[in-house]
Amino acid sequence: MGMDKNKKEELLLHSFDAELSTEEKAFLEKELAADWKLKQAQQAIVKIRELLAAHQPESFGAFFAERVANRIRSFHQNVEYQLFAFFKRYQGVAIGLVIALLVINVVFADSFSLQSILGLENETINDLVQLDLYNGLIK
Amino acid sequence: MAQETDDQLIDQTIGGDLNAFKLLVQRHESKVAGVVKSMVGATEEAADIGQEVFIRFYQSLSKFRGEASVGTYLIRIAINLSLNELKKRKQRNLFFTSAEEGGHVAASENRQDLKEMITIEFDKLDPEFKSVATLRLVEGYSTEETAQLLNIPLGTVLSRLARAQKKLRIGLDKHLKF
Repeated sequence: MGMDKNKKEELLLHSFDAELSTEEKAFLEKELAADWKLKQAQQAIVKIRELLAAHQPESFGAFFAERVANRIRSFHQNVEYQLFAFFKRYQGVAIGLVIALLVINVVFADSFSLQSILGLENETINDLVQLDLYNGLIK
Repeated sequence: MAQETDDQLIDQTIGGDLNAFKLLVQRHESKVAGVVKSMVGATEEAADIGQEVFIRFYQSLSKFRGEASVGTYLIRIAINLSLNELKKRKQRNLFFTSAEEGGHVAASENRQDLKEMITIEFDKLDPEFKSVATLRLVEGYSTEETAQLLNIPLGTVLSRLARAQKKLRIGLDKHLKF
């Protein structure tokens, strides 16, 4: 079977992490018995994996949980955070109010223009006269 | 007394009990530290990243729906923040390269300890290989779990693992004689 060196090594590397087919397994075993360089590569990978897996339990040093808790405490004391939390808490109500105001404007306006939605409908001179505002202004 | 579950501790934390969150930190510190230190090395930045992992988790507690376990969630944050750190280092190294690299090589030549050599070679891996190798080879997650944690296909995990191991083996060739 004419498989080049790289393919053999690839198969060897995959054998550590993936299930090989019966044919692949048989081929690899045969090659490992015949090719000492491949056998050496296998031993090297086994050693590397053993050393990598044999690490001590890690930590971030003493009182790590306390340090995290302190950062959270200072974060809470931060005025910026409190303002953010306040707006975050009432953001639903605020958005609801804005939508309600927009809807009221649309319902009570004569048109569906942007100005009417925003409650900025243009008043004519006649409208102002009718409301006695114009007279009030020029007196 | 039965140990409280992660979900119970999360509920207590949301209710304002910071001690419950400290218990969560203590429970998951080792895994997070393993991943972060493996990715960025046992440096000062590692502890900062560790803190940031838990702070981000704390800030997103209200959004945490429990689709993944707390451990999985934390490892994802840890990997992402570590990758960000490696990216920053790479950008910094564009400006400060030759002197540091020279020192690295000189130091590596003097070290005989295989474990240290592996750490040095591991550190040279590209971030995408390092994250896969960290989860699979250092932390012992299965290939499927690694794929889920990194949100990449299983085939990509396998090919990155193969390339990472090949690079490590080539790098350690003269130190691994049988």
